[in-house]
Amino acid sequence: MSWAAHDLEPYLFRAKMGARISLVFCLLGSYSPDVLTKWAVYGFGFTHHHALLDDPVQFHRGWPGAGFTHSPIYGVVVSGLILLLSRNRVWALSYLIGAVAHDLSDTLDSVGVMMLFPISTWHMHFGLWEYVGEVGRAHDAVAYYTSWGGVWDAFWAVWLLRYWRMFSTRYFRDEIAPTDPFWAWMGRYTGESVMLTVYRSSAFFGYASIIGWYIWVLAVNSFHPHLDWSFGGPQWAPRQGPQ
Amino acid sequence: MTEDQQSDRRRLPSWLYWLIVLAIAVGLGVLAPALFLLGFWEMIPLVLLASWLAPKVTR
Repeated sequence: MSWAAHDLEPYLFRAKMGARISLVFCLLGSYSPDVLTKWAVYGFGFTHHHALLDDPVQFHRGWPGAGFTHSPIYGVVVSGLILLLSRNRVWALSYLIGAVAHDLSDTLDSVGVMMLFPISTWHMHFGLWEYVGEVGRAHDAVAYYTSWGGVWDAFWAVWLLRYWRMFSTRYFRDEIAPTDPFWAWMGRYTGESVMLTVYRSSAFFGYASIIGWYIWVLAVNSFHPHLDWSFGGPQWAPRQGPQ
Repeated sequence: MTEDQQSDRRRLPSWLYWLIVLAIAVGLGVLAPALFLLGFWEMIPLVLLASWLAPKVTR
């Protein structure tokens, strides 16, 4: 699975595609495959893991299970509903782009996603890093940020730095708010500080979490605190996904 | 130097202000990852406070 990449990718799409992307709906699409399932995959507890499911990997990415949320057809159906209810093509397309970007990012781990569901339950997976969600949040953080997963997050973070001006208040006022009716709607109920918070929070969290997790994993945590940039790493993690 | 210019000089550059806010967020995250590094919603109070304060303390 990917961590902060899902928080940052929508900002790059907005920076590259301009007003053809609604940042809020692209973020919703990017979060949606995991939003109802990831807590169950991880179970309870941070330092002491309490599993909730017998087979969290199958539940998260497989069928039978909730793995259909990681397939493009799920994004198509939900974006169709958004189009039907809102009549806003930009919102629908933005949601779809966010959801499919999430799916594609998750093909890089060892379990991958069912890209052809419901025609096939085959998992597209490149196995660049190991899927380790089943062992809980703390060990998954260690596995992810010591492997190529962390590099994947950092890649998006560094690329997005080129567009740092998009996080300024002026850019929000001039480029974001006038081009997406979502902000006009939100502005009827709240002030600019709250809108800026909604606009910036995901990116701010993305940067804080990448730096924070790297420091915690390598300097604070004592469980395998070493980088392992081998293909399919880290090597200590149990193998998951199609053989 | 006018009063406005003097007041402007006392304010932080915007990039430095947000770097300080980011350092606070990272520090909180490293101290308590389970409270601050698991989802973007955990950062909302800090980003809300920082966005509200920004016009008052930055140039």
